Amino acid sequence: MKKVKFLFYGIFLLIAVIMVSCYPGGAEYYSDTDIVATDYDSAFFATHTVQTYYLVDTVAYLTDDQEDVDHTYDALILSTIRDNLNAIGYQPADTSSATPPDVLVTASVTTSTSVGWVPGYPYYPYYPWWGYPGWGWYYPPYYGGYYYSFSTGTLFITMGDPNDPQEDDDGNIQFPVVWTSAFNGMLSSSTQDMKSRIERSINQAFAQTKVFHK
Amino acid sequence: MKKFKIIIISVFALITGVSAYGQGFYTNLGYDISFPMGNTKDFVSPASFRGFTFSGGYFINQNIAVELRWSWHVFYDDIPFDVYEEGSRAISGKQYRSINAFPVTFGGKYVFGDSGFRPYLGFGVGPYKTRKRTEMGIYYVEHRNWHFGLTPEAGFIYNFASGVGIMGNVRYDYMMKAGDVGSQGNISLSLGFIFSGGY
Repeated sequence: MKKVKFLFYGIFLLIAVIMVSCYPGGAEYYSDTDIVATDYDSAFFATHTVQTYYLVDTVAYLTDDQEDVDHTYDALILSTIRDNLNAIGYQPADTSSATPPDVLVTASVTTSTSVGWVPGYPYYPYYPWWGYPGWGWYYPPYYGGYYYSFSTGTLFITMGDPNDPQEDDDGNIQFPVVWTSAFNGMLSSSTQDMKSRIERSINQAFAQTKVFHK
Repeated sequence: MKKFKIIIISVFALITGVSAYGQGFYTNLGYDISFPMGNTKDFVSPASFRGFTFSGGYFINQNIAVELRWSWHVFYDDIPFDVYEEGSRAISGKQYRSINAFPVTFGGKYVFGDSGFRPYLGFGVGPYKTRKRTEMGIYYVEHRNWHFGLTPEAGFIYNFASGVGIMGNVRYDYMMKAGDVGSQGNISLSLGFIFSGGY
């Protein structure tokens, strides 16, 4: 009956290992981590008919180290935003006119890197005391696992109302934000992959904003 | 006091796997397939093939047993890309949802017959630990709660050798609302071994 008992605990251990090893995964590809969040000022769009926009022609990078900034995607970001603004019926403002545009659009990017360690199955490489009583020492167990490092990026697109300037506590003039979009995801090393994800996410930001399609 | 003594003995038997005699203590280990119900199904609809039950009990007499049971059920679902809206706000992306449920129930069984194939009816109550998680992008929201729950079950025991048998059952786990998480439920089919006495 001892064999039965060992069988019982063997099965228990096997099931426990299966439960852990078959634990459901989650995101598999970089693009699986992409999310797009948008919000707009209902009061503004209820009282204004937007006809013209001005898109700031520089992507701002919210980092202290401007020298290491990668501008590979700037042109794509700006052109995709412009295409979407035009597609919803907004017209580029005449910059020679004294009349300010109805909305001011800016793009900014921030990135961050996360590092960590995921524990794996404990693995004991060597048991020198087995069969060698009295040695009194052994290799410490090596716990498997792996280090990870990933970078995430966020692209913010904001739309402000330049016709309603407001002064903050420091005396700076600010425009109230009437629409904002944030695209967040893990950065991949493939330029082509990043380009398609950026384009798709900017398109999605405009598509999921109901007030742009009334 | 007698009941309390039985509980203590049952717990001891569960932990140690020691049995006194053929008709007394038993332990059971079963593989569970679970089907989500109600709010659980609204959150994760696929059946769970990741689950098991470990239980131990004591036959008070030929037909009545008290039992302590612990299970682990993992429900998981990949939600395709979608847009989630609330007023002027919208967020889009894929979601990865999971519920880990750990029922710990104490209850009893009435087992019909006295040998061979023996059908039974059972009932248990106790705390259910749940971990309900939604992953979106690199972010997640997780609710950890203790629910009070109950579990009616129907099944069978078939002893094919001395002290060793097969135990199968259908069990409904109902968890009451706890914290921000509404009531949860699932029906499980369990099949495994039962060991009693003599080892």
